[in-house]
Amino acid sequence: MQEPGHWKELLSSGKHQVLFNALVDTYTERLYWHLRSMLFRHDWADDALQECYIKTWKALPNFRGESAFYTWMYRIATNEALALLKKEKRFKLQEGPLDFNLKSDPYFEGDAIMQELMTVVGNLPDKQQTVFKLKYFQDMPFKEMSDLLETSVGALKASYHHANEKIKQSLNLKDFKTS
Amino acid sequence: MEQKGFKIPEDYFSQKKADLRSITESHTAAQKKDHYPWHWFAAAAVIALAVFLFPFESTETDESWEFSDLQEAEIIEFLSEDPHAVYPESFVSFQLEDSLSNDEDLDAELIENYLNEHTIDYL
Repeated sequence: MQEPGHWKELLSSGKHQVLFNALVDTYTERLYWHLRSMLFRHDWADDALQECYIKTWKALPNFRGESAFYTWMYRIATNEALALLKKEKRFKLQEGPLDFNLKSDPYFEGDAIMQELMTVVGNLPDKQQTVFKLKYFQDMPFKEMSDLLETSVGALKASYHHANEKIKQSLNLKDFKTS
Repeated sequence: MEQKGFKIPEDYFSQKKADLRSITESHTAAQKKDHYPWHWFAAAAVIALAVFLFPFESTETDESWEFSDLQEAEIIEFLSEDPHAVYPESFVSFQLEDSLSNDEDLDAELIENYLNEHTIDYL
């Protein structure tokens, strides 16, 4: 998606509030679903979205415009989601595994198979989990993922392959297709 | 994702967008950083000024120095401060004189006996 050219003019002329409102109007849905695909739970995605926009607002005057606004915000959102997952992992032993959290989410109505899949995915190592989620839920190309996570395409493909193998093994599947 | 069972509250996005727009009122944006690092320019200016006002003294010796360049008064002053540094023999002779101050006490017969006894060591 091509961003309006006047956004960079708004940035350079210091009209940050107008620009910020335009970003809110344009990207809230996309960023939310990106966060939801990484965090599964609505309440976590909602918190992360709020935090992502706070960070965007605070950093906006110093954004140099070397990348698109969306790429920049996507990166902020991804880092926010990863930080939140890491934080939640620390409480995992006390609160129970991820499937418990997902079952308690009133905004998740997936069937038993989907719940099982989410549980298996939630127990993958961080990197494999992230790559799998971006591919499975967003069908993100590896090149785009590489820019976002600052990791080589080869390493991402390897992580995705390992994730796929583990999921197949856990769910006793012969083949697993993400699309 | 909605097809996979992930739902959202009704009217979530319109309410959320209103919340997000209010961030600009509750949080202050960071001040824009200068593209030019003025503090580095200031530090460089201070160092340049210090070098200009207090030039470093050279520690190298002057190769073109000659003895005749010295003033007579300087030489006299130096010698009067430390005569032994210039005439070490005066210091040595002082010590020798001191250690041999009682050579007159030596008996000629004792010297002859000593030589007779020890000459064989050197032959």
